[in-house]
This record gives sequence, C-alpha cells and structure tokens, in this order.
Amino acid sequence: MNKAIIPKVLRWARQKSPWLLHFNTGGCNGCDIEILSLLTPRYDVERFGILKESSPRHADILICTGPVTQQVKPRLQRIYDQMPEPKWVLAVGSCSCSGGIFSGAYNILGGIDKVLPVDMYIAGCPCRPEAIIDGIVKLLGQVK
Amino acid sequence: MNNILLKIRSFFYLLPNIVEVLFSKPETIDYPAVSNKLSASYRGSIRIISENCVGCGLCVRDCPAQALALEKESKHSFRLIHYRDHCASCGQCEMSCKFNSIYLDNSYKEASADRKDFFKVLVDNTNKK
Amino acid sequence: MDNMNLLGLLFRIFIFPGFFFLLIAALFLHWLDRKLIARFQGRIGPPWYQPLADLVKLFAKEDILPSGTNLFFAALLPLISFASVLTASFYLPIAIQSAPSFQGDFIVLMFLLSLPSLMYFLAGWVTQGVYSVIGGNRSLLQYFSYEVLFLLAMSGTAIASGSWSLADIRLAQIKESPYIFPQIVGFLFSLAGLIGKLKREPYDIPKAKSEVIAGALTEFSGKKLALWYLTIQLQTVVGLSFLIHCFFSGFWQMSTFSGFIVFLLLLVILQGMLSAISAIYARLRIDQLVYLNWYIFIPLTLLHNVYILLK
Repeated sequence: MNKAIIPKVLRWARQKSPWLLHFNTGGCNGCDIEILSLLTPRYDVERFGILKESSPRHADILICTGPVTQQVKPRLQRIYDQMPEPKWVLAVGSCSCSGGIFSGAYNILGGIDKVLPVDMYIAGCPCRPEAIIDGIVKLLGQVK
Repeated sequence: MNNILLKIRSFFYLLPNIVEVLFSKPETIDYPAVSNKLSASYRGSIRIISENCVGCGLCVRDCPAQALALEKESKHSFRLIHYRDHCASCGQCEMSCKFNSIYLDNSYKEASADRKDFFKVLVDNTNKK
Repeated sequence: MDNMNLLGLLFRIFIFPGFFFLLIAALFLHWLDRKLIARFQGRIGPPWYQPLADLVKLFAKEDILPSGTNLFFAALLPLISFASVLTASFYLPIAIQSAPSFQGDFIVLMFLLSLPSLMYFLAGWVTQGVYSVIGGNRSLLQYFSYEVLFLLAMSGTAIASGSWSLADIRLAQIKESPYIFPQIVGFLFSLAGLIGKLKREPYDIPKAKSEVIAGALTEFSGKKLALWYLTIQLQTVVGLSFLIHCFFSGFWQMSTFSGFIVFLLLLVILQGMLSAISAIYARLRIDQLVYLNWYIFIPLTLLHNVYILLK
C-alpha cells in the first residue's frame, strides 16, 4: 500500500509546486519580458504554485530564452548541473527552440536542445504568456 | 515640522490603496479555464489560402528566419513548408506575397514536447495533376 | 510518573499544543501570508495546500551542496535552528498549554528565538558561495539593529509587571488590563523587531532576491532548504504567540475553548498586519535600516520604557 501512495503524493507535490529558474542564454530580451509578465496580476502564475526562484539550487524548471551562444554554453551547462533532481528544461521562444532568426550566425550554436535535454518547446516570437502557461501545464501533466 | 509630518504620512501612503485592492475583484484572468481574447492586430500564426498560392517562392526568398521552404517539382506541383519553431512572426511573408495568399492571424502557437510538431505543410500540390 | 501522565505529556509534546499543532499553524499562516500579499496586489494567490506541496516536494528533492562544504555543519545548522524554535515553543503557553514557568524564561525565550539568526549567518559561512557569505554577513549586520530593538520593546512588559517570568507577565495583565493599551508603542516596535527576526520586507536585507539571490540559503537544496523554510515559518508562529502572550493576555481565560479561538483570531490578525507591512514597504538599505533603528526606534523605545518605569 505504501508503495502505491508515496509516488502519488510525490507526483501531486511536484505538480503543485514547480519553481522556475529563468535564464537568458543570449536572446533579445523579448521572451524575458513575457516570462516576467506571468508574475503580474493579470496572469498570476502563483495560483499554480509557481514561484520564480533566483537560485538554481531551489528551482525545478529551467526556463531558457534565446539561442545558445558560444559564450553562454558552459554557463548553461553549469547552471543545469547545479539544479537538484528532478528537473526539467523549458525552451521558450523560437530562438531557444531552433536558433530562430539568429540561426547560422557565427557565434550561435542553435537551440537549447544542442546543449541540454529539452522537455517542452514553446514557439513564438515572443511567445504569449498564455502559451507559456500552456507549456508549463503540459509539462506538469507529463511529470512521472 | 511640516517636513516631519510629510515623512510620517509617507509611511502610511499605500495603506488605503491596498485595503481598496483587497476588497475589489482580482485582475487575474483564470487563463486555462477562461480563454483570453487577443487584439486583432497581434501577429501570431501563419495561415494560408492555398487556392491563391502559385508557388512563386517570394515569401521563401524574403523570410529572414528561413522558416519557409518550397519544394518545387514543376510549375504546378510544389509543397510550401513552414517551420513554426523558426518563425519570428515578423509578417514579411504577408508583405511579400503578391497574390494575397499568406497572412498572419492572432492565434498564438501552442507548446509541444517534440519539435516535429512544429513542422507544417502549408500548401501541398504534388498529388494534383 | 505513571503511565497516564506520560501519555498525556507525549500527547502535549507531539500532538496538540506541541509539534503537530505548530506545524499546522505554521503552514496555515504561511499560506495566509502568501494569499494576503497576492490579494493586496490584486492577484488571486496560491491555493490552500500550497505550503504543504512545497514542503513535500522539497523533502523529496535531491540534496546537493557545493564541493568543499563541511557536510556535517551544513546538516547540523538547520537542525539546531529548528530545534531551538521548537524548544522556544515549549516555554511559551501557546493556546491552552500550561508551560513550565520560572524566573527569567523571558530571556531564555529571547535567546532561543535569536539562535536561528546566528545559525543563518553560519550557514552562509559554511556553504562558501559568494552570495551566501554576503547574505550571512548582512544578516549579522541586521541582527545588531533589530535584536536590541526587539529586546528593549518587549522588556517594557517585563518592567510593567516587575518580573522576568512569562507566567507573572500574564497574571499581571489578567489583574489589570492587557498591555496593548498602555504600551501600544512598545507593541509596534516589537512587531518591527519581529519582522527583522523573520527577515520579512522591509527588513529582508539578508535574503534580498534582486541583490544576493537568496542570501545565506543560496546553496541549500532539498531537505535542508525545506527545514530552513519550516524553521522560519515556525518562528513566525512562535514569535507572534510570544507577542500575543506579552501584550494581549487577559482578554480571555487561557484554559477554555473560546480562549483558544481568540488566540487563533489574534494570530491571524497579527499575521495580516505582517503581510500588509510586507505589501506596503519596499526593502530598506542597510544604512537606512541602521539609522531607522538606532536613531529613531531605539531612543523612542528607551523613552517609552523610562515612562513605564516612572509610572
């Protein structure tokens, strides 16, 4: 009986309290503003239990915006390694999905998936806050 | 004296405001339950009127993000492909199109766990004769 | 000690006025705090189970620390602060518990409540992150301004009752009137001191999000972080109960059910005051904080205490 209940409780807790870490991997700041607008009274993601944490050690979901540049690649990997398991990566915006309008530039590696395993892609330039909420809700539906 | 009074008043400046907000309706839209209406001029996803498309490739040439691709076999047999994960929603294709075939509407793009979902064939004329 | 007594004691320690009740109260007050701040800002706010979900999730997360950290101390520090807050709760007659009271337990309670701040500083020192060390140093700087204020403002009640014992302070209030009316200034200043102790806005200099990530707790994760958060939440309950005990006793009979309800109501009202203060004020700079405390609050508190002495 214990074996059945404990994973259920953990799944519930993880679904109800995703804490975000926001990291700009070299984008134009458009998606960052859309992410911050999630915290405003209009979209208020705290009703899903989402908090925006500043330390990678506290966070569950890494939200990346922008294409991965050569400069930021080691930092991105390091921040990902600093996060405790279980952790998820969310690529927000067209640039972080594929490199977008920057793809092919000499300093751009491409999307986030060139460096990290991405769990959910959200396209758009910049993506709507509704699309980000959709993405997070879809991601939490996949948890375990 | 007046200065000190102003300073003391500044300590309680926001108090009436927060009490007013506390007893008013929250600004939040309950998003996944209630859909949010976007303005008509918002540039979201690309739509196409496939009857108008002649496969000229102007939009493909002008797209700054290489989000459109044209696979042309002959004059009347071609595929127009859109990669949503590249698209910057800039509207250049709408400006470039001479036949009023391609346009952007105000629906936004949905999230997906797989990038293959962002691949979309806009016009497929290859099977037609 | 016979069996019934032992069972009753265990029940007291673990279930009703003890750990379990404190845990429920702490989680509830934390939820109320977040909900009220959300509503003050025109948002909806988190659902009622939010603190519980956060806690369960944090306890189930991987526990990693930077290399070079002294693992023993990193595990010990949150435990010590947690234990000191719990111990403080046993000296305090929370709700209807008749706590063992002796001459000077007021000072013991002060000490136990200020222990987590020192542990917080050491935690920043142990984990070795840049932000942790800055956060820890800031908490120590802040400690020297709010702790004096808290002690001075709270000792007004001890001066008025003529005893350093919590039971005597309560008895004196039942005999005359609650100290909230003659000592409203002392109450407000001790609330300010408590805010400094809990590191809430506007005294949240050690954990300022936009400046030092999460202060001394930056490098903590998983169980230890959960324990730190739980400590701060329990500290809220114990600190507020301390304030209620010293300023609001005498409104009600401690040992009745209605008294318990009044106690809970006061707890909620005081938490509402803390939330409103958090929502109104922005973070102070460290020099503003020291100026405010040492040049304005503490002299006023001293004058207030002299007035109580001469009365």
